[in-house]
This record gives sequence, structure tokens and C-alpha cells, in this order.
Amino acid sequence: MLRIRHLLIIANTDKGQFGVRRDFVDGVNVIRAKNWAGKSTLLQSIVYALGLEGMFNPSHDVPLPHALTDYLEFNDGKANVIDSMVSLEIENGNGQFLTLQRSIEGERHRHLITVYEGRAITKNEAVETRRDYFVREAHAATSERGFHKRLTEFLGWTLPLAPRFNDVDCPLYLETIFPLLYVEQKLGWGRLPARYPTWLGIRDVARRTVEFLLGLDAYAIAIERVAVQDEIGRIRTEWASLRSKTNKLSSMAAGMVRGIPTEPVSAWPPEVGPQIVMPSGSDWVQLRAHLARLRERLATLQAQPVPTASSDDSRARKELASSESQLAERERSAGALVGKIESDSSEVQALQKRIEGIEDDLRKYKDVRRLRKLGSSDELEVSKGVCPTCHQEMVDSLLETGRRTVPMSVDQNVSFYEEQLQLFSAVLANARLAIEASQMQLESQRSEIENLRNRIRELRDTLVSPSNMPSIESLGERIRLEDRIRILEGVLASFEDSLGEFGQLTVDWKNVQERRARLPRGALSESDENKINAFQQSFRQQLVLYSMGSLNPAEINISRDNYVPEASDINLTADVSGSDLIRLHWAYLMGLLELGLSVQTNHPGLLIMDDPQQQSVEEVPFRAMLKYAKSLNKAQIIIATSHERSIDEFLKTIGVTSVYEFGDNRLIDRI
Amino acid sequence: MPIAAELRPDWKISTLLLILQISSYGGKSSLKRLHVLNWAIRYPQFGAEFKEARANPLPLFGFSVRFEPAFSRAIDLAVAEQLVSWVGGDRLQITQKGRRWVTGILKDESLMRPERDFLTGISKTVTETVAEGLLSSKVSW
Repeated sequence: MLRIRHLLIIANTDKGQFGVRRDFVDGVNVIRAKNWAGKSTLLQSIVYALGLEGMFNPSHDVPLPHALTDYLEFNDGKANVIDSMVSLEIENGNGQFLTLQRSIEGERHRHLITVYEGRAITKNEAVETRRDYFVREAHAATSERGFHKRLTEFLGWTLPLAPRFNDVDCPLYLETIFPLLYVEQKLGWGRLPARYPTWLGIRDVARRTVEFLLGLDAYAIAIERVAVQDEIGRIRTEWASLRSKTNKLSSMAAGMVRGIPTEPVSAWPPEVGPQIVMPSGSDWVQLRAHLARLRERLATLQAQPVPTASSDDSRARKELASSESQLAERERSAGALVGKIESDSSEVQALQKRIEGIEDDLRKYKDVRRLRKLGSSDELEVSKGVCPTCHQEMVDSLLETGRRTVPMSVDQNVSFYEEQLQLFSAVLANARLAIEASQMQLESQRSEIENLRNRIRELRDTLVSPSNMPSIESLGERIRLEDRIRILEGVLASFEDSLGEFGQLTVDWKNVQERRARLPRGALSESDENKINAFQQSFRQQLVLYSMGSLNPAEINISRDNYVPEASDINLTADVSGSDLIRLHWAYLMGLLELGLSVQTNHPGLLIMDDPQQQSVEEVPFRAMLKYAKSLNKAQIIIATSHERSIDEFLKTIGVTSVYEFGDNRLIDRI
Repeated sequence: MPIAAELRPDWKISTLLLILQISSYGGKSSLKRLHVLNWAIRYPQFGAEFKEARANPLPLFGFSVRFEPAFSRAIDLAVAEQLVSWVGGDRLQITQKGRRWVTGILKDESLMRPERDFLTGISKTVTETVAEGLLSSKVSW
């Protein structure tokens, strides 16, 4: 909450002290004076005291007229300003006060705002807490001594980050929010929803500010949606890289990984546990079982002493014969595998070609679809299935088709191709997998062939070596077994480690899927939707009261995309009369304010309108607006008007007590 | 029955208009030349073959133009739609309506992109003489 409680403007001149001093209450405060009397000066100095003049433009000039910077005119003449200053007491929702002082003209630097933690003007409180803060400099919204940081805290706000055109996020600066709370007289009116500063370069500023002011979840939802997407992407990537790592690992051991899903899953381990399988002939065995078999063989060997060449002679002969026939067998099956891989590869190529063709056709179809939309203004008869020459029905094809065959519609054809694309992609993935498996088998065959050759050589050596030598073949087998076991154990251990990593990714995946499920379907949460509905209702209700002329209020909606009013077929800023635009503007700003009174929002409950009776809006709607404003008595609404004095009577009848009537006088006068 | 996008009238007519707009002097061309370019534009590999034929001074055996009946039908339809018209009985020229239509296509950067890129790539270098030469495989560029 923010309330303006007391304003004091002082100008010291060569003809003495001038100034103005005003209290502001909850509810409606009206300042009535002649056009030239200085109402805007008074309201602008509130903005200036809050260090918010950047909401008008990037200029560092004081946004106040010469009366406070150079010379001022009064009833008996002209006085030169020596120095001038504005002081403002403000209150927040916790009943805390701040007093702000900012120099307009004089020695003091104008980027400094002096802050007292209490009512320093009216009660002379907290004078000892005087502290200077800076505004209109870099970091004024974020630094400890930045005044807007202090003001944000005082308001109990946490400013969201907003994306900028230069792609660097910045806080949603107060200068972008206050145009919804303060309407300046000359340029502020008639821009829906407000005249935002563009020089801060914040994207979608209208959407962001309304989102913030209404405390919508939409922004958080948008951020969460992006974060969820990023997280999904991260898990996918890590999953894929972990998967390829384990694949590499297992191929080092001439094995294949089975049972790791290609895409992340949310339950781990999968029902069929992931494992490395080793080719064993034309079959596959699990790495563990394979290892056990190798260990058993090694143990058997180690239990016996190494036989000598002579004692091993008959066994060696038999082994040699069997090894040689095994070798022939393996070489044959390796040859068969090579053939299979070749034929599978050419199938893959054919599939790829086919897929490319379909993709090209699909792209062309999508273009055809757009071509047809393009033609809607200048339609061709052929795309409507009518012959342009004889105006009879014509099939939508350039083929000479028989009478009975009807070509698919373009949309059907697109789905047909999409389906084909899916099918062939699946077939392709399968074929690739088959090749991979065959290659693995081939590799295993080859290493077996290598082993067999070594063995055959050793057997031969054993047979020709002196009879008391240890059997070379027996020793060789032991060494090979030990090596192989060591390598496979290493592979198994790293594989089990990576299973743990998969497990972690699965947990992350599950979490992110839950986060995704919690996101609302659209951009708005249910509570957002309720808020916008209530806002829209207040908005429409006011438009009825303000006798909106050119449009039926029931046809005006608040857009769910950017929260500006919209009506179907009508561009609200272009097609509506000037005075109706002013009505829309009143209803919009007061609608925001009203919503803040009934539900939890960030709206500070303050609205300042400088000369709202623009574009010669008639008397009746103007009074209706004042009446509506009066009904929002929990908020603070400050209105400056140059309406004739007769309005005072009306204000009295609706119960507005805080009326500053300046008659024909200037606001800034001797004090 | 599914049919290739190529065989939809809109596609072929748009191709015809693009050829006349981008790659023909005065938006005008002979029928033969249109067929040559239509053939070159059809598939990426034909496009590549075509460009190779352009770069290669030897007689062209690889690039053999086929007259596509669907293209002839598309031309008839385009004439009936008054997107193109016959000039002097042997040249086809794009009409005002045709230009409007093709401008609409060109406005959308991504629409028919590969086809446009191909045509912009050869610009207006495939003249009537060149096209004639391509047909008789005797041309040197």
C-alpha cells in the first residue's frame, strides 16, 4: 500500500518564501483550480519527490515549470527563485511513514533524495534518521543506497526481473509501473493501458506491469515453463551422452548394452534390468555369466599343475584338430555376418533416401497449404476444385486419374506423409540397431578367431617343443584368461557406476515431469483467471456507468495475452472516439485499483489523475466517474480538475470532503 | 489416394509463376524453356545436375530434360485463371494477376524456399538459346 499524506513545496525567492502545503486523506482528494494555477505542478512534484520523473522521458531536466526553477508570478508581481524544494510524507500498509525531500533548484544535487524514517514535516519525527539516497543513476533500483530500492522495500514489493530488448534482464523498474498509478495531464491520457516509458527498453512492458500489479502467477508460470523446458533438455542431453558412454564402454569389451531406454524414464531400474551382453557364438550371454564362466575355467586350470609338453601331447593333438575346425567355422560365420551387414546397410541407405523424399514432399505439402491460405484474398478456382475454363468440378490433381480415384485432400495427404515418415523412421532406427548388433557379433567373432589362431600356434609350438618344457599352450591360455577377466571386471564396475548416474537422472526426470504437470494448461493459473474476470467485470460495469457511446461494453474483453482491452473486429485505439478512449482509460485504471481492494495484489491502492476530463467528456460520465471513485473509499485517489466551481456542490452531495478549492488563485503562493 | 505435392495444381502453377517472375526477361518465356527449368527445379538432385551441366562445357549426356505432362496441364490451368497469357502464340507471359499472386508468395520468406533459391541462383542466365542448347545437348555456356 502507498498513501500520499502530506506535500510541502517551498520556494525561496528574492521576494520572500512561497509555496504550498497540503494534506491528503484516504478516499477521493480533489484539487480544483483554474487551468494556469499550477495543479500539474503540484502533482508533478509528487512524482519528482518519488524520483519517478523517468516515467515520462529519459531527460534529466527537472520536470517542473519555471515557477519552481526560475521565476514565479504572483498577484503583485514577479519573484526570482533562489532555491526550492519538495517534501513528501508517505505511508505504507504497515502504518510506517517516510518523509522524502528533494531539491528542485539550489546547491544540492538533484539526484539525491533525503529520507527520514517518520513524519518529519508534520510531526517533526525521526529527524535523526536523516539519510541520503540517490535516484536517476545506474543501480538506483538495486543498490543499498538507491532510493528506488528503499521505496520498493517500503512498499513491500519484490520486483520481478523483466526481459529487455538487449536480452539482459533487469528489474521491472518502478518507472514502468507508475504510469498505471499516475496519469499525466498532457500526454498521459488516451493511451491504453498507459503511456509507458520506452527508453528503458523493457519488452512486453504492458503485460509485465499489469501482471505485477495484479500479482498474477502468469509471469512466474512463464518463467517456470522455460525452466522446465531447459531442465528437460538438460536431462535428455545427459541421458544421451551417458548412454553413448556406456555403449562405448561395452564395445571396448566387445559387448552390447541392452535395456537402457533411448529416452529418459521416470522409474528406475526398468523392469528388464539393463545389462551388458556378450556375443557367444550366435547367442548372447550376460556379462556377469560370461565372467563367471571365464573365472571357473581359470580356476580349473590353476588347480592343475602346468603340464609338460610331452605329457600334454595327445591332448594337444586333439585340441589342435578341434581348434582348426572351430576356426573354419568361425571364419564362415564371420563372412556371413559381413554379408548381412552389407545388405542391412544398403537397406538403411534405401530407407534414408525414402525418408528424404517424404520429407521433401511433406515440406512441399506444407507450402501448398500455405499457398492456399495465401489465395484466400485472390482465390484461384483450381484450389477450390473447380475447372477455371468450364467451371465444372475438377479433381485436385494434375494427374490423369481415372474417374473413380479421388485424390486425398491436402490435409489428409499431409497426415498420410507424416504417418509414413514416422513408420519409416522407426524402421530405420530398427535397421540401424540390427547393424550395430551384427557389427558387435562380427567383432566378437574376429577376436575369437584371433584367439583361436594364437591357440593353434601355441598348440603347434607345444607339439614340436622339447618334451620336458611346460606346455606353451596351457600357459598362454592362463595368461589370456587373466587379462580378459581383468578387463571385463573393469567394464562391469564402470557400468554399474553409470547405472547409478542413470538412476539420478531418472529422479530428476520424475521431478521435472511433476513440475510440468503442475503447470496450468494456458498461460494463466486459475487464480489469475479469477482476477482477470473480476477486473473485466469492474471494467465493463464502469463503462456502462460512464455511458460508453461507440461500443457495447459487454463486447469489450480484457485480453488474456497482454491484459489490454480488446473488442473483436475493432482496434480500440483507432476506431473509438477520443472521449470514449478517456472513459476506457478511467475504467481500466480504476478497475485495477478496485481489484486490489478485494483480493491480494501488488496494487498500492493509489491513483493520481491529472485533469481526467479530457476530450470534452460530458458532464454526466465525469460525475459518474467521480462517484465511482468515491465508492472506492479504501483507496486513495487524487484528482486535479479545472472543471467549473459548480463541481464542488456535486462533490459535497456524494460525500467527498477533501476538496482543495483555489478559486482564481495560484496554488503556489506566499506562506 | 495420396498424390505427390508436386502434382497439386497450386504447386505447379506457383512454380510456373516463380520461373516467369525470377528467371525470365520481361516475365516472358517459351514453352520449351519453361519445361527445362521446371525439370531442373523439381528435385534437389536435378538442380545439382543442372548446375553441373551449366559449368561443364562438354555435351550433356547426364542431363536429359523430360517433358512433364502435369506441367503442361498446370500451364493450361494458369492460362484459364488468367495468371499467365499467351503472347504471339509461342511465348507465355505473366499477367498482372499473376504478379500479384507471386508477390504474395515472395512476401513469405520461407515459402517454397529451395525452389526460389534455385531460381535466384541461376537468375536470368538460362536464356532461350541456352535452354535450346540444353535440350539438344549441344550447348556450350
